[in-house]
Amino acid sequence: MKKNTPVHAVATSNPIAVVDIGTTSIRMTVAQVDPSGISHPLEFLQQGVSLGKDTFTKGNIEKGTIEECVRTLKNFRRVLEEYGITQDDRIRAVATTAVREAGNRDAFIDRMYIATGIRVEILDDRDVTRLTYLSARSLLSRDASLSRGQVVVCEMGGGSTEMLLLAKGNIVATHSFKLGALRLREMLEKFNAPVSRQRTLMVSEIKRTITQILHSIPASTIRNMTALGGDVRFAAHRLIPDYNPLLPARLPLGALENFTEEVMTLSVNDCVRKYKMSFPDAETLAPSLLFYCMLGRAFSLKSVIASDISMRHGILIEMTRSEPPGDDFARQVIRSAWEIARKYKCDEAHARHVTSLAGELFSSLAEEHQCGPWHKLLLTVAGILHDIGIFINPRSHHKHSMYLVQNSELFGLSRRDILLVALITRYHRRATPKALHQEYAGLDREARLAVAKLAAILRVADALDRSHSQRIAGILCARDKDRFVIAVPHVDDLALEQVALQNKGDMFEEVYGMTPVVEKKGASQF
Amino acid sequence: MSTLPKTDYINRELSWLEFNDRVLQCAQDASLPVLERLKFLAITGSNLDEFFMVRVGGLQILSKKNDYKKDPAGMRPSEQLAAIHRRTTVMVADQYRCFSELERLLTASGVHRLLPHELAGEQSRHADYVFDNEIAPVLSPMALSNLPQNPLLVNRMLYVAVHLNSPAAGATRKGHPARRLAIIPIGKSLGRFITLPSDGGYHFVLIEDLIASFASRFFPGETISDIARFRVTRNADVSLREDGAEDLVAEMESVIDARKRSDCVRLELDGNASQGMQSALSAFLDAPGNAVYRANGPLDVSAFMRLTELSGYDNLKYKPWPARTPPYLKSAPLMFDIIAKRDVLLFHPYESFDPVLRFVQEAARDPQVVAIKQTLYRTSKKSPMVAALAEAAAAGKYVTAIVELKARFDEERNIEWATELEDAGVQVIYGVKGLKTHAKVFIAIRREPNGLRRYMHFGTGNYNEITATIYSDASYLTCNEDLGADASAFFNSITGNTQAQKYRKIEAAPLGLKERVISLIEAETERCLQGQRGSIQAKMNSLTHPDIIKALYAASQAGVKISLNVRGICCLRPGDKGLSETIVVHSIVGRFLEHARIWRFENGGKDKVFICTADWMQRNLDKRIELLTPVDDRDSRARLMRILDLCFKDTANSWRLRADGTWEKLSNNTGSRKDFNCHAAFYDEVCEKSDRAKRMKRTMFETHKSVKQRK
Repeated sequence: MKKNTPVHAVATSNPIAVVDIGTTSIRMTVAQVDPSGISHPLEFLQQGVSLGKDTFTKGNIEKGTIEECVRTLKNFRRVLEEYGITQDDRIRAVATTAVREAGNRDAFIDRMYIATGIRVEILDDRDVTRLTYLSARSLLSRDASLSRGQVVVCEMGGGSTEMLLLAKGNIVATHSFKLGALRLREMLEKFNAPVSRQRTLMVSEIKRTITQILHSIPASTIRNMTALGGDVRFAAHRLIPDYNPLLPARLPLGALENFTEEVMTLSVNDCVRKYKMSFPDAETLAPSLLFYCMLGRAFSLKSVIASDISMRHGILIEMTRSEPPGDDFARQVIRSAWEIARKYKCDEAHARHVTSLAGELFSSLAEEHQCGPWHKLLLTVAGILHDIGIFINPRSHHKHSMYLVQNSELFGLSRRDILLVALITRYHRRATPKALHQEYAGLDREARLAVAKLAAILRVADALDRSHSQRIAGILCARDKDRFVIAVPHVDDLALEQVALQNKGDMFEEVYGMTPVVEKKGASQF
Repeated sequence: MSTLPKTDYINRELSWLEFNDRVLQCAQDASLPVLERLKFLAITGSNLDEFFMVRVGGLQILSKKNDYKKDPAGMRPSEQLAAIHRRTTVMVADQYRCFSELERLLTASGVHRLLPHELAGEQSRHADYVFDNEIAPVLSPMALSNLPQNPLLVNRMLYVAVHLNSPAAGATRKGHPARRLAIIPIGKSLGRFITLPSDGGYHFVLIEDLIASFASRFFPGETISDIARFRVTRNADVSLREDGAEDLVAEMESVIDARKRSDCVRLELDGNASQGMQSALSAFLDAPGNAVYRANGPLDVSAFMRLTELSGYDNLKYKPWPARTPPYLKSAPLMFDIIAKRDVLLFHPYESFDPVLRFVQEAARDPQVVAIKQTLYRTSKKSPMVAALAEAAAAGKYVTAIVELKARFDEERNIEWATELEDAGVQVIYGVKGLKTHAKVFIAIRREPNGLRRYMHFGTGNYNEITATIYSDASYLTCNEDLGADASAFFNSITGNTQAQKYRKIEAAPLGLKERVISLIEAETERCLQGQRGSIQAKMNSLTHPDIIKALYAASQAGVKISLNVRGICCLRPGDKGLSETIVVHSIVGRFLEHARIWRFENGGKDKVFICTADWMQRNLDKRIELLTPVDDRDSRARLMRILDLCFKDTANSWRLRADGTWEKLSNNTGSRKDFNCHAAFYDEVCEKSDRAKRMKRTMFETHKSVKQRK
């Protein structure tokens, strides 16, 4: 047997596929991955479907549309077979807003599976942002000029707009807005707006969202804006003679605005005829270009960058890397947590210290809790954010922390993970989890256990920095019968921490079956 | 569609007639072997047949129903018909003058056409025998005057017509004897040439002459007062017309009658036919006055193509130029190995089509190949390509074939082998609704140690190894990743798996090819306007698209140097002051049928070179699925540019279009050494390369490999 086969060798000979069921079309990328882990697209297929139209106007996906999707997936299936892609681990099929918000989403997903054997997974906003980030990072890293200063990466989809704020390739913030190109179209149709008024309506709707955006992202800091999606790539094709969609291209804002004006004067039918494009593509063209132009102006930029960054590309990256969330990814999540902590003016030194103590305790207790690096990441984020509720009111601040976390744009975590973090912060003091607590009770057993294990650790760590002076450092942990002994060097007077531990160690005892105690180093025999 | 001032556009039909005239000039070229000249003459005949059926037929319908509709040159259908008649009458006279000359030369070489009255002895007895035993039994003469309904005369069939004086029918009031018209159809099952016994050379008599001389035998008791040979050309049915007159069809559909019988668009009569016979037949066929043509020799010169296939007269034909295979292709075990290392550009028919065939066959047999996709259009009868695809499918590969059934005259044959392919497990797609798939592309997807790789063939000619020996075409074999992605996307889009999308490098009609061509032209214009140089060299079969012509005029006004090599129709008016001073149009007509579409745009010194399946015509750019392939590989691109250069350097086979729409032959002194013959140059270069490789082999000694190495 060959021992030194590189990890990627398998992926190399096995192409993989991503199917993305979006608002206006179903797209599929088939790609193969080279030994360095970079994926090379082999095929790209796209078929227009009216999922968004159905969901956004009727709340449900119509039967005819479902069958259209079945037909499309069956066609895609044939292409997959040509490449010998039949196993589930080589296809990842995802659906976004239009399916997620549909009343009959479960029926839809079941139908796809029964008819085509393809399992469709529903992504939430945060998944989309995370995956987009993965794509953006890999593409922007190839061109230094694009990652200078703060970069906004944004995509107006059919149902929502996702924005990432990056600095030196790192995530600063992520935002998701419920403004979508197709939603805008549907809104115009619902109001039955005359053509002359349509533009005004669209502009005012977009302006509203841009005001929100500027609230979260100060315009003065932005140096570059990268727009994603087919609409802006289409504009690039029109504006740049030799446009290669695989490379980022700078579109002068003035030229983009002129082209947008031209598009705005055309009806969807005219767009289809004039530009030889499909109806679904024509429907989103004007609204999304208008949005990018207005956003570019709002940021006082001279150009907008069109790029090939996409969620599908992010999924490909995720599918091909060996360990799901890499260190770098964890770093981005933590960075984003700090952004939020600062926003609520937390005691940074305390938060950092508690987080670090919690980390040490987590490592020492590895045998007991059996949790992996992902849970450690959740604990870290909870440590950073545990006190942000003080911003609202020091009284019951653990409860304030919980809802602030729940409503923050924490990058990279799914809704469920964010709920776990929120609950860990909630249980960092006072009451321990009760069946009465609605959010906690709603979790499955595994998640409840995770919250308990991690919150117990956080409580002890918080108790150790009761003084908020970071004087407890370099701890050594040991088990002594039913005691969990935390030995502290260089500190003589531990009374404050001991009292705190008596108050907050209860949960630790419940979860780990040991009483946490703090002692001067050398005081105990072990 | 944009509008051009009418004087800026040469009428398409008249330009086509000039093309046919260039073919005729080849027939008149005394420097060429006589049977080749006869072949050219035969081609002018079959060309004219098709022109009348498809183009003239369409115009005739329009002139009757919709005569106000003008073409881009500002001519109404009736005006075009009149002009066509004038030009064709001259051309037919030229054809027969040429025929007489060729016949004299053939007779001198021993190929001798005899008239029935010249037969004597054994030849006469043989003619009698053939007539009585083989011809007469299958002929069925018809008297036209006593039929309840006029019979439908068969398109392009020869007839002998006779006027009969019948004493039995009594006299008319004016005292003339009663006359009746009868015709003898010469069925297509009968051969045109009746070979006669001879002591030397090839002697023959034409069947219509023989029938005419024996005609009285069919009408006992009546006397033949007048006799003539004639031939009718009918309007082609609409489905047939799709291929050659898409522009007219749209107009015609609304006016065309439901009647099955199509109109007579041409009546050809032998030169000796009387005026009375002409009027009688015209009246009978309801043929318009400008549909009648007199032949000063045998009708239907296209039939003489058979004579050019005579064996034993190689001295009257071109010296054969057997196609060569580049030496580097011969030595490699697999085409895949070569294409993986370098792009391959082949120029047929100087270079053999075999490597392309070999590539397809190897792909079908290679166990590493997982999928194959190919477009098929006008492939040959027993195509080895088709066999290879079936073999691949049988071996479990995913095989997709886009089969175009609408290829003219080939439909039934196509259906047959397409069904065979389906039975073998090939996914056969029968073209796209409303569009003819004219693109030529082949992909093999192969699993290799470094992953999947796509190998492609892009061509300008059909996948037909027979025509590949007569048509000059380019083949481009590559495994370029971008072109592979595009080729896959192209197939996905025509098989309906995906919506059309932007390609990385290629362009496909009808969605973006025209726009791309125009933008390439405009880019040259823009460079000139900004003070840079701009130039375009393009070779194609026809140039008619008003949008493109307009872009070329604008480019010329900006100073772009434009050299066009257009084999057939060219509606652009070159060298006209204030319009097209910088445009030169050449046309090559010669030994091989110019078929490659090769275009070069200077692009500020970084030349962009393309091969394409489309002409700059409405039918190609608006009504067909066509493919434009950039050739970026340095060597292949250089080769294509060299091909273009030599085409423009040619004088031996070239004409230049003058601003007034007439064509000037570049070779004044036929056969002179001063003439540059690009066909010969292409072949010499190809031979030079392969001979040099042979010489190299001879001067280098190769040792046997050691046992160890062989492992």
